[in-house]
Amino acid sequence: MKVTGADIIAVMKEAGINPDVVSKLKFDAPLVDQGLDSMDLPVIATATEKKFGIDLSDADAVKLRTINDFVVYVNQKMA
Amino acid sequence: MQEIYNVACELLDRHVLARGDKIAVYYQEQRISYAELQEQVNRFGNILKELDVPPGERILIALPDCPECVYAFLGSMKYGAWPVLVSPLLSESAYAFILNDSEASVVFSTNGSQAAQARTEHLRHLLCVDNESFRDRRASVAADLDPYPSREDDIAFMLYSSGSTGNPKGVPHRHGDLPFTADVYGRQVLKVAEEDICFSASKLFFAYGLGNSISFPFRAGAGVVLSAGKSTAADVFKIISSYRPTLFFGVPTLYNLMLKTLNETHSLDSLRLCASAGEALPAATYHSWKELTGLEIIDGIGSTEALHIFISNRPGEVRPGTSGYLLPPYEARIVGDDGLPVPSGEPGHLLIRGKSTAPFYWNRPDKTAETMLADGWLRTGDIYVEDGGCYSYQGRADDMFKVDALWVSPIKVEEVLREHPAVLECALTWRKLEGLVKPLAHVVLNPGFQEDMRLFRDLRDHVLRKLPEYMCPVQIVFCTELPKTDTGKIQRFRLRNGKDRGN
Repeated sequence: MKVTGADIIAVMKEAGINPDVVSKLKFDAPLVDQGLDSMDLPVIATATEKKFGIDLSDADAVKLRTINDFVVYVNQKMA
Repeated sequence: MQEIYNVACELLDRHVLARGDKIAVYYQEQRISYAELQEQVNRFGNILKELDVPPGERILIALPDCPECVYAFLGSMKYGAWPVLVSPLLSESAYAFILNDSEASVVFSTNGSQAAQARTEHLRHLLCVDNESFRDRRASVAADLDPYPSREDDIAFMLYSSGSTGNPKGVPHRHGDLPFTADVYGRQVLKVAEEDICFSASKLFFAYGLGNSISFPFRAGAGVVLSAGKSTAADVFKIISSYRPTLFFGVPTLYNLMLKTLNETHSLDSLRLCASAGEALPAATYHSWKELTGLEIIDGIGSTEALHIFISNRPGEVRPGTSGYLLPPYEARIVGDDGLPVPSGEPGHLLIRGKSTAPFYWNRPDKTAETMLADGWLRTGDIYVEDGGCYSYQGRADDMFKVDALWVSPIKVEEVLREHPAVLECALTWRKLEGLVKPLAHVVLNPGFQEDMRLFRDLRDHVLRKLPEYMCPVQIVFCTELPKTDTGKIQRFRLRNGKDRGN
């Protein structure tokens, strides 16, 4: 089954990222521009790794700017 | 006998004669010329004189990056007192500790700040720079001030550096140290010149920010943009496009964040060079930034004890993922645990020697003896490999690590974690994400508790209530036991075994 933006949002909520911020996130805009900071992004990255059983390489993680980027990346890794 | 040498005069006086009208400081709508800057520095010094503060007295400055912070810092030194520059965002108890430790008798801060609440035995004068009465006082004192007849090797100011256990340590520096670092790194590597405008995302109370925003621009007669707020990626882009600085100083985490939001609407065309310090810059960050902006990031290593960068890459010759080459006249040595030099290419403890290294820790003879070695060598606590003159960071000699360019002590975080009823024992190490170090906790649960995301959130919330966010684990690995020595001491290094330690 394909991972969707809603799945990534669910991971963020589970990991304890501020629900007010998460509920307003646009899928195609940079997370950094929507109120998430250098403290939130690593938590999202590690929670995503754990949830989907994947490893985020440094070179890849730096390119994950939006929720859509996460969706594409996770689906590729799980394919 | 050394000649009279006062760092405030070294940095300002010749510019007032040569370029008094030139803008030295850009702050919000204010444009402050060198002549005005010198006058305000004199007025702040004269306020101390009026209060009859004895020379050598410690003056705590807990202000955001703003002109008054610069006036208070340089004015105190010109008057002969020792400014102690600290973050404006500490807790009241942290200020109380630093006030007691430094025995400061004067505080420069703002109305209602935590620093303004702290009361200690030595404190005589609280000066809130945003108060009406302070403004009146500032206007009423003389605009001229004879510099205190200090010598180049006399103590001029102090910074505080966080400790692995317990409390921060005072790091005193001499009058000659700021100009020395400006010449060795600012002039030699960055080639800061009169036409430059510097902008540092790292604040003045960090040794890195102090050089970037005071000694480098003022040594060269250049300008500096000061920004009081938090340096978010959006704010940094906005400041760069509005004030058009030529040199930008950031830390790796900020560059990574900026890369995640950079687009064609962001204008960076005023910049000629970017610099990074605080933690090792990942090679991937260097390459992405270069690809998207065309700009190099010059990474280097420095410390509060050395005051600024002593090993650095050079523009046009960057070796991504390394700290670069030694900056003369600093000297470096890599030694084994026995103190003897190790062969090139092998890891060892990095020692450095140079004029800007702090002579001692304030009131800490134990730490001084460990760090400030015989013959002027300073133990950095970092493990490095030198190969062909190029230095690569390998990690720390102790269990400390840096997150967002700030020190994290595992012991402090473990103490807080252990207070949680679910935690039987724990160890804090780190993992890398996007090439940067982030805290990772290993936790053994008490009977009756189960590993799940709710507990993960609960443990993080517990840490966040007691410690700054950068210390909070981004990941928690639940395990059944922790590796220990025969005497029961947790071996954090074994938890890190098999994972990348280096850059």
